[in-house]
Amino acid sequence: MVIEIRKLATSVAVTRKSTDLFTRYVGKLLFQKIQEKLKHLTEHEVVIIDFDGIRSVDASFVDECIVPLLELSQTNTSPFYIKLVNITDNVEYIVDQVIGMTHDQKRYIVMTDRLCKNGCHALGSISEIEKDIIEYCVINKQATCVDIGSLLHVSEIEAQKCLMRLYEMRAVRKIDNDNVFQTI
Amino acid sequence: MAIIQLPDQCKDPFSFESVIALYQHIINQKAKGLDLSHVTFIDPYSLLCLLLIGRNYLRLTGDKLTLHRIPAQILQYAIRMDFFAHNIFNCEETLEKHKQLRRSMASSRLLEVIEIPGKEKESVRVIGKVIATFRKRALAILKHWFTLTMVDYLVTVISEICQNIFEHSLDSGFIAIQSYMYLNERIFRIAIVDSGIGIPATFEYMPQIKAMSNAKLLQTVLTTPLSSKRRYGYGLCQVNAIIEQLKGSIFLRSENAYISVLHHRRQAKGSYIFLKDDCPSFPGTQFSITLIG
Repeated sequence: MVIEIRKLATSVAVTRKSTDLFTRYVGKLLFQKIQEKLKHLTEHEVVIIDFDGIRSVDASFVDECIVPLLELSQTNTSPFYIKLVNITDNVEYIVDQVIGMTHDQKRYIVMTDRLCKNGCHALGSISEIEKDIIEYCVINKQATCVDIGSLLHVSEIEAQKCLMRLYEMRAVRKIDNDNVFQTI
Repeated sequence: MAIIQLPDQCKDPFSFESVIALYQHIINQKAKGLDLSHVTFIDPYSLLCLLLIGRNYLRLTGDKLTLHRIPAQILQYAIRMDFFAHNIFNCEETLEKHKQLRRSMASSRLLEVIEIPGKEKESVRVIGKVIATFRKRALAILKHWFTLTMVDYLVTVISEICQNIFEHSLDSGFIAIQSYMYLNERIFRIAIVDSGIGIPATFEYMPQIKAMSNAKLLQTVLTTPLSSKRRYGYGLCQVNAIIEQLKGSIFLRSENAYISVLHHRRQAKGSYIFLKDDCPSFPGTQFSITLIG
């Protein structure tokens, strides 16, 4: 599913002609609109949030729109995945800053379509090992526990633990097989 | 009831402290007016703080302060910035139409004084208008600094600080933006001010913060991810991080304290954070974001 956030924003009076998404108010409204679209989701679907036409966002918007969306992707009964595409440097920076904060031991990671300034295709609270795994998946499209074990020089069980953690944060996709993980 | 003479100290946030020192005197003495004859220059921050002084006076006494003996260039500038459009001051002087500064694109290196309402919906609409106007004029305002990415970051800064007005101050506020030359330096300044409850009162219920001095608290909100409202948002800390990237400076004043963070001085390895407590009390929160170059 592709959600063009610019199009969605045109239905909100204050952002009708704007290239910027700001305030908690706008964030809440857009989250509600996105939620309505998510009713038609299928299991394991990737939801692409297309930021084409959006120049900047602020922390309040991310806090009210992107963070709840990531929370929903992690807790929804049928799993789904979020990917941000066509983001500007500003959007990258603000999203990374906001979701990069760990809070009550809750972590969020969001995938993007570009190599970000942190050297990874994902933003948020990511360790160096997790970055390596994500980049491996991005390059090879998928990874098994054996692949990651040999990449990181750890046991298969350790590798699976790392991959499962990333799956729980919806940074990699796992459909049926507990040993095969795919890029988003 | 006296007319109080303002010193020629309206050039920047630091010098304007001398005017703020007169604030209680103006209120307690129920001053009749302010004499601006000594003022030779006024920057956007000082202009907005002067507006707050007038508004507080109006709220407390029910009367408008009158501005006397305004030098022609200051009057021209104040009219151009829509200073009198907010109906807060009486003004003795008038300026003939042909002497007023023109409102062409060439003179649009500024954003006129705009009131940010204290209610969410109205405020979001006005912030939208402020951002749209800033984007439209960004090339003229940021002439020497302009990149699209810089405009994006400044939009985030403007929206974060303006939101704090309706989220925390429980009052309305004002914004003004301008780039100008002063003493052979190019200066870009965003001023955002309110006369609400102030930052110390916003965090009053947090025991770990209550014990801090007000200046230390201002430093904490600028440098630590801390929010009295959000789960993950932490606007002021982010504003500071952005200004650090842009190598600008922040002056933040609230109640009786201020902090000045001069990121452009960091490379020189000197002190770049200055805290001051026990300043003259002035209600609310006042911001000045500056780029020099």
